Amino acid sequence: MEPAWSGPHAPGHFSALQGWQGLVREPPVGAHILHIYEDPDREIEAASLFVIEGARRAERVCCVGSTRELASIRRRVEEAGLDADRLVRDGALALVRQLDLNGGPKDDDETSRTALDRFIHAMFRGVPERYPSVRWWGNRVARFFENGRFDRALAFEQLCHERREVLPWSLLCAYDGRKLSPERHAAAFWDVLRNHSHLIPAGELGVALELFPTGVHE
Amino acid sequence: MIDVREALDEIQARSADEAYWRALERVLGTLTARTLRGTFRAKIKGDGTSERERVAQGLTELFAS
Repeated sequence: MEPAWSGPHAPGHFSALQGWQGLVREPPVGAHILHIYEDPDREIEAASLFVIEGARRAERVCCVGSTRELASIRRRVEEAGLDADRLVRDGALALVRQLDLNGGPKDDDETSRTALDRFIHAMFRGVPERYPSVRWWGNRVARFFENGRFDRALAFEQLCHERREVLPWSLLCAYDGRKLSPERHAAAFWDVLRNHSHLIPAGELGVALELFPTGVHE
Repeated sequence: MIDVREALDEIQARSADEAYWRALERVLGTLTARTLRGTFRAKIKGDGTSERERVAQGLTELFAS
């Protein structure tokens, strides 16, 4: 595709400008990817690619989303020739509607440190004996951000971001760009960005960008 | 006589900014780009900092190597 850039920020000046599919298919360990979509089909397309490739590489994959989204991902997994039932039964694939895999507290408590610890503990069961690493996809935390619960969303993203350096996992967080408004979300948006390693924006060029390649400055 | 040079300069500057933002919206998507624009306005303050300079500074920190 032909870049339309001119001025001081031509594509060559961006770090790691590449197609988003490559990053989602094979994220580096420790990647904490922020996916902002404006088309719900793109959300499912990215999530499915992430999940299917993870399953093919025998990684443990966990998805946290709504019933509709989980059903769409599951269908794509099946269409890719994988046995979703078996993957779920074996524990290689978890499709859950909330972070607490055991059906515990919802909403506010869902993003608490305790809930996250419990979630991580469950997710990393069998790592590294059975699975080399973990992939996690989710969009639940984005709902807090969209609804103005910035402290909840940011606390969770920060916890994940801190632990990405010590745990063998990669994370793909989906945010609905249609719910972002400059007036409401702009100020807190910087904190979302600084707690992720890559950005897949909704732009028509279909790129992925590395965030803060030279480090975060306060 | 009315001096229109200043007005023309301003229109030209605005057009350049708009073209710049349209290009950014192609890469980032309209809503992300608009949110980022607001983010940079909130984050990068300073007297005499133009919109263009603010965006350049923010993008450099965010993406550029």
